[in-house]
Amino acid sequence: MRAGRGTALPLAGLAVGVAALPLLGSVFADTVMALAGLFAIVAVGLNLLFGYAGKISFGHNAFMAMGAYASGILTTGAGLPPLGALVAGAAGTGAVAFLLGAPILRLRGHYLAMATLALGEITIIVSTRWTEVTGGLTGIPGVPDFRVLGVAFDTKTKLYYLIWAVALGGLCLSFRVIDSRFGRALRALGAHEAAAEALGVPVVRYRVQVFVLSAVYAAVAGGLYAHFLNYVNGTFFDLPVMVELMAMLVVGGIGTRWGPIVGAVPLMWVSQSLGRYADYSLLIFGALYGVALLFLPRGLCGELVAWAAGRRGGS
Amino acid sequence: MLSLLPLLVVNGVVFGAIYGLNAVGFSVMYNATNIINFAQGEFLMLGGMLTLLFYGDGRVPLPVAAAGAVLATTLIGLLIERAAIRPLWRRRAKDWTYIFMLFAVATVVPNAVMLAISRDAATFPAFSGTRPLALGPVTVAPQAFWVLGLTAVVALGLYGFFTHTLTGKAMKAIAVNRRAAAWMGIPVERMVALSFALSAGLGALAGVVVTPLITTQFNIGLPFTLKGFAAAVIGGLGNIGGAIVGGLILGVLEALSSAFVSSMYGDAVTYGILLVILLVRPSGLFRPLVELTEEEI
Amino acid sequence: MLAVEELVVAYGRIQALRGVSLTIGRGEYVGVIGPNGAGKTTLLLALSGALPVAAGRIVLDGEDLARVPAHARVSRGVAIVPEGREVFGPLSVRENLELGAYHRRRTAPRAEVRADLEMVLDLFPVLRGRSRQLAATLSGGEQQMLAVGRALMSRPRLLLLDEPSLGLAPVVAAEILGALGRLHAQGLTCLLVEQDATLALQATSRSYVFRTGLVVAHGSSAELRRNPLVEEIYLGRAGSGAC
Repeated sequence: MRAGRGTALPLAGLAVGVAALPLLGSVFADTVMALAGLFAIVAVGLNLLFGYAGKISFGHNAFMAMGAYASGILTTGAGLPPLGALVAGAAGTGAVAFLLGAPILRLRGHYLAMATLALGEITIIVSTRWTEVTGGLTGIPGVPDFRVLGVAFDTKTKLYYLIWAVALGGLCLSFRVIDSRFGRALRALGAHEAAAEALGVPVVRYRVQVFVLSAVYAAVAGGLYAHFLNYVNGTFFDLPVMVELMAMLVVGGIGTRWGPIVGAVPLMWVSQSLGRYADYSLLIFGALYGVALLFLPRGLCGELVAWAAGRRGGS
Repeated sequence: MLSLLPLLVVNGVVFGAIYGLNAVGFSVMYNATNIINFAQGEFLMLGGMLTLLFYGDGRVPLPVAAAGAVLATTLIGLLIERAAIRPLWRRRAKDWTYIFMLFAVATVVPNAVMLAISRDAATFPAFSGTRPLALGPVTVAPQAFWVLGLTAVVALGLYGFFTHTLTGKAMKAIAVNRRAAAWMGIPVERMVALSFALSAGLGALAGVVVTPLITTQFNIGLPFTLKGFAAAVIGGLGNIGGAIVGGLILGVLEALSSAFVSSMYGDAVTYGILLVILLVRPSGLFRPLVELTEEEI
Repeated sequence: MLAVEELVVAYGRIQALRGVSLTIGRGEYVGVIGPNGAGKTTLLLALSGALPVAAGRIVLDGEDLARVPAHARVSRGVAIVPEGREVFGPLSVRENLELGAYHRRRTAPRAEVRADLEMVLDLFPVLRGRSRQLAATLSGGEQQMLAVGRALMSRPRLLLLDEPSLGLAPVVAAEILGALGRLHAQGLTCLLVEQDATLALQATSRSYVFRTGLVVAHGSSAELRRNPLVEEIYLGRAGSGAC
């Protein structure tokens, strides 16, 4: 899919749709879509890492937690303005990803999956026990509302706009990355690392860069989440978040431009509409993406793209 | 602190044996299929939880409940293989698909157990009472001997299976070259199912013996998956004997580090050990049974 | 015994075999020669069940093999010695041979299988000395012998050979083909696919010439040796064979 005309129209359409939603006047809808937007941000980053560069991470929930804690700690403890804390959190998380990335990304397949899973679990465990810094199981309450240039985002609807502004920005950035030389190199890397290396792709550097980028996406989402709840608690970022993200990626379509959004929105609606069946959430998500893997392995977007290509290409 | 050393080591060995059994489950499946079972720890959980379910309030004799649980878990393993893995196998899905799928299984199974059986931690009686026995300077719960005994039996049994039976060698052949194995007449799909059944049964057995020591709950699967994998990697993925040794090493390391490094972060330290191993020596201590192939995702 | 009718085999959209027909009678030694990419290996992969058939039939003694999965073909008597040997490296020579008889594990008495193993070791004495060694440590020629021996352990009715001389010194290749010749003399039906046309046309009594997925010539091997088309394929465009 080429950029420019191919994505400008859907993007504009999405932006219009996003802007229009609050006109329905449903705070519930705004809240659900705000959450969807947050997860979409993480999913977009994760999609770049896995869908294009081919590197699995089962630990990105940890990066979300880091961003959330950074925002929470810096705004409550250090009195930093929310934007500053968000940027600092993103930068800090990026730095952590940078340090971890080089050694970890040498691993492949299931080794990488296990390693990132371990990292994620370590992060969550530490966050719930390192009481001096993270507040342990109590977490960090009283995170102030996000405010920028005197504008306070104190309602869910305002946060919805903020989150989706960031999400759309992140999406555009991801399109830029996909269509750049870097993006093509990532795809070569994901398809066949040895061949890419032979072709002169600086494999290690690019891997780490996309890993850091995806970590930053997650951290930003995490930071915004802290302001969304006015509260930070490590348990919110435990493995269930990772399962939801994976489900969104698989259902939406791994390695497709729109997959993360197409996956995030409906699944978040499912998750938030369960009401008294909330306990079934993980069961449903797990079953959903397992079924998707069996019958819709390329995800909704991927199957659509393949079907369209099939029609164009003839028999 | 040092006076605790013998106790720590013994504890470490006992839990290490459980990690070893789990690691064997990983290695068996990896040998036959090159798949890492992210749901391995769930079999262990099922062993304990199903025994609990069948045992109820004690009307069903414990051995019967345990046997039933192991059987049921084995059947569940076969069901998972048939429903979730076989379709992927048939269409020659790429590695990551199996990883994701088994992760989905590792999500569905514990949540199903939580909803259908119980949310709470619980346990059933130890097999031969709780009066501690003396083992040198240490006193040990009798259940620990069951753990060690089972591990020894399993280790010997599997060793014999893979080195002396044609079926065991056929399973090794599949991991080396699936197509050539089929040409020999080896029913690859059935062998894959067999390896699932074996891993599930082993996991369940481990779960049954360890439950009286730690209590069981719907969510104990994941830590055992990670630790079982760590043990398997230490011993060299695919190496059955190595898996058990790896488990023992991990168990002892875990016990020692919880005493001398930190007890506050619990499993995080063990996961840290896993990370170190993966980064420093992913091929493990012993040469793996099958050469690790470089797979592209 | 074997009839292949209008066989079409495709890799995705690329047709490797575009309607190939051939027959093999019981006890015959038939060759398939042709340049690289002609579809020779594809033919054997389809016969052994490793590749699905897009169109056409494979009929062995009246039975259509299309419904028979790869792992069941050996019990129908079809054994393959694959290109590149494909022995089980981490297993010993002995274990490789034992696995060759896997499909007979319930039907044949142990003594019979053991006797067959001894026969294979007699056929290729160099393997006897290495019987406990891991197959991966063998030389190319020894691995080829092992691959042939392994296939023989299944007591095949039809032995498919995919480029057994590939990568081997002429002396070694000759030894292996010699052994195969002796087996043929004792009644084994063989289908030999070879890049080395001379070798194949000498060993076999009748051959097919493949090019770009089709049979372009067929007849007695002796006649084909003098066939100008064969000369053109092998001498005109020496080794390029790009199709």
